[in-house]
Amino acid sequence: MGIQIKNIFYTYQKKATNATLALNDVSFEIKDNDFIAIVGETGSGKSTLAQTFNALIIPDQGEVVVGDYVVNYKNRKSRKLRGIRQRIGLVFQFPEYQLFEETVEKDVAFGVKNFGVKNEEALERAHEALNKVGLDESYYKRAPFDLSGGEKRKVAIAGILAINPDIIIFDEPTAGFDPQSSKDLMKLICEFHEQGKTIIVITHDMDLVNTYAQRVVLLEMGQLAFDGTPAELFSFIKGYDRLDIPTVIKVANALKEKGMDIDVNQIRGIDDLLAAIKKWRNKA
Amino acid sequence: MSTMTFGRYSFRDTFVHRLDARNKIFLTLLFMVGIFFQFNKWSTSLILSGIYIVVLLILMLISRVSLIALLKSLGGLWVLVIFLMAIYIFIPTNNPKLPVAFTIGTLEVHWDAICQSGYIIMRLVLMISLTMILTSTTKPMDMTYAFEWYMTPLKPIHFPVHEIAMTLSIALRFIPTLLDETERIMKAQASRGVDFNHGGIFKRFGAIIALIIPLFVSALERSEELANAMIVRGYDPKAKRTRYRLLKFSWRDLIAFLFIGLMFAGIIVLFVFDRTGEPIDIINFFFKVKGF
Amino acid sequence: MSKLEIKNLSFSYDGSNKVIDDISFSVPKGSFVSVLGHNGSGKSTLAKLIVGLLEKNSGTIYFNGEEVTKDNIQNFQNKVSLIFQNPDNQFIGSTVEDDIAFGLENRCFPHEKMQEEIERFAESVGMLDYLKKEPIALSGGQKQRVALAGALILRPEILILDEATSMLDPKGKSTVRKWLKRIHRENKELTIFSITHDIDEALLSDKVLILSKGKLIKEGKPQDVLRDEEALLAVKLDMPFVYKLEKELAGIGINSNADNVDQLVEDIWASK
Repeated sequence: MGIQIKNIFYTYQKKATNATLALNDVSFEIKDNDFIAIVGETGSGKSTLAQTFNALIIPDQGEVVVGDYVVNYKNRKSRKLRGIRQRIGLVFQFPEYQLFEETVEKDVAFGVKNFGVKNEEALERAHEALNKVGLDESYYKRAPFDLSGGEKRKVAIAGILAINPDIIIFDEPTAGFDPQSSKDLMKLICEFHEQGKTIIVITHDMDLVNTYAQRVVLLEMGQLAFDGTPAELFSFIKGYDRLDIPTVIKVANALKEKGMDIDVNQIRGIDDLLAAIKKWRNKA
Repeated sequence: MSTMTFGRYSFRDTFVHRLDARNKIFLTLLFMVGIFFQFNKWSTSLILSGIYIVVLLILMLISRVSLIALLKSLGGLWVLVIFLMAIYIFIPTNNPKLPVAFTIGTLEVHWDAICQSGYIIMRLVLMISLTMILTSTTKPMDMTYAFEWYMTPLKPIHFPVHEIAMTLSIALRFIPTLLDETERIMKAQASRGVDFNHGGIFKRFGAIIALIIPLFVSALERSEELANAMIVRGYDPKAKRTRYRLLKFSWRDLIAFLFIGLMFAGIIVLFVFDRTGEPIDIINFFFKVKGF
Repeated sequence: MSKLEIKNLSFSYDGSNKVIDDISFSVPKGSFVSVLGHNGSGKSTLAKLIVGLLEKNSGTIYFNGEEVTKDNIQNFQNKVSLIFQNPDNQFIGSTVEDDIAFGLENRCFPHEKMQEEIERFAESVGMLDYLKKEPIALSGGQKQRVALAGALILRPEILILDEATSMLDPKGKSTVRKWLKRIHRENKELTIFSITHDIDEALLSDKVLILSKGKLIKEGKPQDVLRDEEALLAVKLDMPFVYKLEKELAGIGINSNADNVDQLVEDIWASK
């Protein structure tokens, strides 16, 4: 399932003197089974944008179309709109803070039950989701508050996964994680992608964008500033000091500037860089 | 981000903002007590009320508190207004002095009752406006300092004055943070299909639980971290501390004190005359004092 | 002489599982030491043990060569400051100035001199223009800079950072790091002890300690420790990219010992 974002505007605190235009005429399309990253500085509107996708925020103008659902100002009070959250799951930053049930399985089943699934089936789907995030049977009856930070986050992700949405949005999924835990979590997200889900990741981490995203959009002060591949983004933001460029790209850029014949757009990881350096040496 | 509401402190550099919080609280209370003196003669009450309103408007002008914002926030009071009206109208008036306004069945509603309820409502509105001027011109932190100062006499009997003031100030500091957190958790649970706006009591109760428990857990976690941060920076509730913020009584406070104080004294004098002698008429008051 | 020396420190919350297991190390005066470890490696517990928020089970702490005992612990604690991870939960005052003043008030610093002191330290972290601001109006990085000012105003000899930048966005991270570097440059006496899982931050320090499951498994200069892939793997950390690339390059006959991108690029180019 994809998302069409059509000319959306959104202002916080409309009536206050410090009203801020958080989204300013944003339009683009997310295709089915995309793996897309949304990047931008804090306050650029990326979280606001993501929240319009599942109708947590209703745009003042324009609309977001997801399958049969149309999120716009006219439909803002429609009770049917809540169903959109069954199709689009949103995993907030530090989702471990939303856990509240007495057992892990109950917490994961909570969301499923909210969409009218009977208890038995909900638990079954909860178990399935827990297994998918790598938590086995021994976790089902444990209290979520006794788990480690990483495990809690997995439970929270399972809680969204169990609802079985077609699209999953992750807001800074790896925040506060050490590199290994981050890698494990991203691997998991890639698995969801391979199983056919559309993945949207909101992040500051350009290494993550470089390694995993197929496509990336950049927001700047509520406007869409860039839409393309990660490699194209890094050449677009060269010279910006507001956004980090992955070290591998920095090295490739510096070598190119020195005069090396290297196609920076083809560099995604250390292996690509190494191959390019090898090729250059063989030529020389 | 939490929305601004009327009565919340907003920074402006005015005469009223600069007043000592202790003085401001005292004078507000004094003014309120004055407002609640009841006089036998209608004209006295009426003219005094007029004076109160004028003083209030001047205060608002000086402190640059917006009248429109005040009226807007008073809009929520209409339930109370109707309630008060109903009570006064349905309780029969003793010794009515004014004619009957209308009758409902056998119940005669006198103008007295209508005037009385109007008078009560007006005084209520005055009180609320005063409180709002106080809170929107005084930093919450200064309020807690003032509170601590007023409570100082209780220290010898081991009343935890400082602890309560510190707790209050921290609570005030964390209100916006916890409001943000509440919004975040609500949105996170809404993403899991919780509907905070619709459904029966049972469903709503479930929704509230899904909000309250995470909020509690995170508040507890915060409080532990905050306690650690305070200890590391050398905080000991029992130890002596110095103050960065000192409340100072300045010439401004003296002026305000004299002004409100004189007004209050005038009300007292009027009241004494009103109750002891003949019910007096404010219009003849000065004349009578002269002849006294 | 070492500023801080830890000998055979152990701690457990429940009496059986040791969160800190017989750790010994020393921190030279005026140095910048990084402690690396994965989530749950006992890093934060170590910080709390040093400042006395937790009570050690066994072991000794030496400060300026003197053992820290019950009698002199107050003096030691006055000389150590700790910055925590969450910017919101250590902001005590209602505004920036009140928060910076908090420690001074606790130390009974005279009221007349506070204003000057607060302004001086706010300036030292670039927050002078924000004195009247409330925490809700500040970014995470700004709040952490206020926390830094609030800690430094107490003139500590040791400053401990417990993942002080891990909750910040890249911009916040880099500004906090920038001010921290400046502070360290200007206060040669100040010893900084930073607990982190940010490998790039560790690369800039004088000494690196690696902590795994409560044990100290490696210590030394970052140039050596951070090249030890095995030790890093054991604590689930990645080698810094520059070192990773150097290792790969050695395989194709390019040798470099660079610690930063610029030097590495020079070395690659020179191998032509």
